[in-house]
Amino acid sequence: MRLAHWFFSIPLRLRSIFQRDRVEAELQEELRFHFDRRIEQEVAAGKTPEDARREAVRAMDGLEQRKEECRDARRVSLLESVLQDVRYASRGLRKKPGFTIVAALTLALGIGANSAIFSVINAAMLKPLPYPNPNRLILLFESFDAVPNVVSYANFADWERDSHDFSAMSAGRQNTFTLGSSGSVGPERIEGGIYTWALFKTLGVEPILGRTFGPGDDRTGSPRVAVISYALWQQRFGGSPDVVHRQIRLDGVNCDIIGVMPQGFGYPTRDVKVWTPIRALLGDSLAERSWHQLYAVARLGDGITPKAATSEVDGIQRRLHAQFPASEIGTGASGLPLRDITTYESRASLCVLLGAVGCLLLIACVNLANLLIARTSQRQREFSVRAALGAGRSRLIQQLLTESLLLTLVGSAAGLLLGYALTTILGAHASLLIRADDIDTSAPVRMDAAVFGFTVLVSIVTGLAAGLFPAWRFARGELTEGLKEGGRSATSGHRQQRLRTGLISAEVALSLVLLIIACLMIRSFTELRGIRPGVNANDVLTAAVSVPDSRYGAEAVSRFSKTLLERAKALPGVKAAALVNCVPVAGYCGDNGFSIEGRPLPEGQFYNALNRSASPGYWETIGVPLLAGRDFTERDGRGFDPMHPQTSALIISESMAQKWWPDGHALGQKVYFGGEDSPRYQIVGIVGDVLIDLEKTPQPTLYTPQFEGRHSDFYLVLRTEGNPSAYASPIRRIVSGIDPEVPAFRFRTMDEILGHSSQTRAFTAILLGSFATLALVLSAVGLYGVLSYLIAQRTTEIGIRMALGASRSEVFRLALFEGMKPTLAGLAVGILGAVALARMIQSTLFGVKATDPATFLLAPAILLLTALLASLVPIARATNVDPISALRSD
Amino acid sequence: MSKPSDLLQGTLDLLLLKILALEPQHGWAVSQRLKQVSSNILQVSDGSLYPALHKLEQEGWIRAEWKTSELGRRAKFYSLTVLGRKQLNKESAHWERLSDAITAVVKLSEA
Repeated sequence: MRLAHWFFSIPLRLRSIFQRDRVEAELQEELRFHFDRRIEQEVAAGKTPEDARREAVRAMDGLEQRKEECRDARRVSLLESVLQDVRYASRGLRKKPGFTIVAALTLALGIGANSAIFSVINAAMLKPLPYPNPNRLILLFESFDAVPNVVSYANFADWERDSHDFSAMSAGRQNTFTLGSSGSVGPERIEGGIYTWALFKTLGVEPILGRTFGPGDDRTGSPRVAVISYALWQQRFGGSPDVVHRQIRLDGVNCDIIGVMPQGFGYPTRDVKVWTPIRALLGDSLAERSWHQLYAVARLGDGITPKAATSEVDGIQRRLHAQFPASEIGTGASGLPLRDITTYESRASLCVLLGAVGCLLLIACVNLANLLIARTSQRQREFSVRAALGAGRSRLIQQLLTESLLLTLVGSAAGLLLGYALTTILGAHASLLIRADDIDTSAPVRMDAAVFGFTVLVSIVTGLAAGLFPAWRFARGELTEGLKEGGRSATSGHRQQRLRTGLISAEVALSLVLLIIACLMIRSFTELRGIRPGVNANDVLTAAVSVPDSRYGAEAVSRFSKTLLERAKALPGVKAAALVNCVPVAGYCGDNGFSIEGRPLPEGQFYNALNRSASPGYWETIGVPLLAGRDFTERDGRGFDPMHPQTSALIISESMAQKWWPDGHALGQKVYFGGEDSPRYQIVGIVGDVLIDLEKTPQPTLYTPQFEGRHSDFYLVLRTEGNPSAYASPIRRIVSGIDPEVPAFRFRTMDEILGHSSQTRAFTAILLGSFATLALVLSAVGLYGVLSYLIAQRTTEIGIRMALGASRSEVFRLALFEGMKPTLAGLAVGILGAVALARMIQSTLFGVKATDPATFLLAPAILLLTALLASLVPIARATNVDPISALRSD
Repeated sequence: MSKPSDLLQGTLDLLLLKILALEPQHGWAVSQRLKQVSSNILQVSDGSLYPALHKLEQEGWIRAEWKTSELGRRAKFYSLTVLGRKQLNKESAHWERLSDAITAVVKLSEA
């Protein structure tokens, strides 16, 4: 039955759509026929032709409505009328290009910004980790009085042995290797992962070629093996299938390649290209329980909750702490879902960004709703006429919705394109926003299906929210009002005005919140840039050098260091050169426990300070003042005879001197590392503090002589004449001239390092600043639109007032008040909102309080000024009203 | 009082189908025939006739074709389709049941 019905109706309906003119003509003819017969009949009954005609019309009972009913009966009700509405709407939008462009652009900006920020959040936080059952993976930490810390190998080994709540666990860390030269390719630094054997088993990822590690690969003295990444397989081995059992040279040692991981796999960061078992690499040196270096990752056993599993490990660690009181080991253990580690630092600022774009979208929505309402009310009369001509209310609402949906569609398409462009830009700077530290499980930031879906969803919601509202208001209104009131009116409905000014207040409030947050972020950035890192950064180049431990002993490292420094100093244009194992403001690098002679601590306890090694002349090169004592000399060091070490020299930072020798007697004191009989280091100098990170306060730091040869990874620091970057290739030549297997890499000027340190804040500040500016512009546009409308509505009233003797200044005040009322209300609400919100984001600020008075004065002032500027034109229009023409205009 | 009370919902369809079942006709003739056979009691306003016809056509119960009318002018003639006949039977049966029921109620003798 239904099928047969469709068989008949579909061709008819298609005909209604595609032969609209013909169908319409037929309807016309059919009714005309009826009409004529009726008139004939009436005339035959003796009426005059006029009366007959009148009677025929009356009998039709509203000809146009009846026609519309016939059309309704024929229509593919939705499709046909939608097509008609779309035609009508697009004509209307084309006729008002200004309105259309502003509205679509508003939407595009709101949607594009949301799409871009969401792409970052999606990549960093939402996308499931690329491992089976990723929610069963947690990180385990050794915690010191509830403060999580990395774990030592020895403690981890006990966790692994004694726990039952896990199906597998592994501990390790990222490690940079020097990949040996092959053929024409020189030595290269690549990221690697050194882990206990069960890493791949824990993550649940299978190799695409060969095998991964077994327990036998990870013992002291095991033959060296490596698993390589897909990327390395392609680059170095051309994707050759016989790569398994070939060899790869890491830090001067040949390793058997046993497997290749699938494309895209990388742990603990995406750029890791090679993995080796940690025990086979580092051997028994791992036995030290206080050697806290490793991140433990574990897979929960079936049916075990993270809480239960963590408390099991906590119990084991507590027992260890009690069992080895002499070691500096954690008092307990704690866990964190693996997925949460990547954004551990940046979660708060990502949320701020998301909130900001959300705010922007709301503003865009309000703005669009306002524009649409304005447009609807301008067309009140048009709708009334159409209603009188037979258009049903639902039909008119449908048309209004079509128009706003069409607008949304255009805006969303533009928003999607903008979002795509912004996502690409953010993708290139993703590390600045995501700020993953040692473990980065984030996916690449790009416009994928999820981001696309989110964008579409946001577009639909926005379109409906902005479009439904005016349509709904319209639906509640009295259609005939337009005809009655549109003619002659001094004022428009109060409800209407209140609604629109309310929307403006909301827009101003949202913009103010956004502006204040942006200002706070920008202030944080400028505060950060104002921090003095303690060095003179001009014309300084740093280059990393890594000497392979496997072939070099301490003495050889020392000899290499001296040779390198001599040759670097001999380069023309080099004013000063030195070596250090850690560049200022570039990170933490490591600390060390020490003891002070004559100040014994209880067994197993040590003092602690940041630990660096430096060559003579380092402080002069980098511009750090020598405050007391002397610099290192070439003779400082404990010598290379382990049986008879000499007393070495030590230089300490100002904050270290103040911490342990506040009375100023640091020089000449002796400290030592390790047991009572360890070699002594005598403090010979005190130097200025340098920061390890612009956002951190100076920490006590000690420097041992680089020429002792105990640090094989270090930096060459050059102060140069002219552009420091120009010295990179001569340095590379010098290093490979000493040993072709030793790479020089990571060339950075000190300026770049400082810039990098504040880059994250700079980027966040730029983003928020742009969002806030956009919000300002949108609010200004909204205010301008509404105010113009209100003034236009009151032209007659103003005319009357002026005719009755109101002066221009009174009209000016009136118009100004009209615009400032909603603005001030919005500012008040906005300030309250911003105070509440700013407190929540205090942790993401630097050097500025959440309730920074300057910001809270400046931002409202900027908004107020913007509002004034936006009202200028409408106000001018109001004061220039000519009373005569205003009264005549209706 | 010249007009009948509102036609029962859906009854108009039945009337139109029945009239068209007798012979294909154009709208004007349908309206005249309706008046005629019901002795002027059932009068469908000119206004509501055409939307109803168009609806029936859309349902596939009647079909329309343009033919020359008795006066030599082109007119749109409606005729019943196979589906329309089925529908007519269905609606007639329904109507008879309904009218029997109502008659029975109306004829209830008061005790």
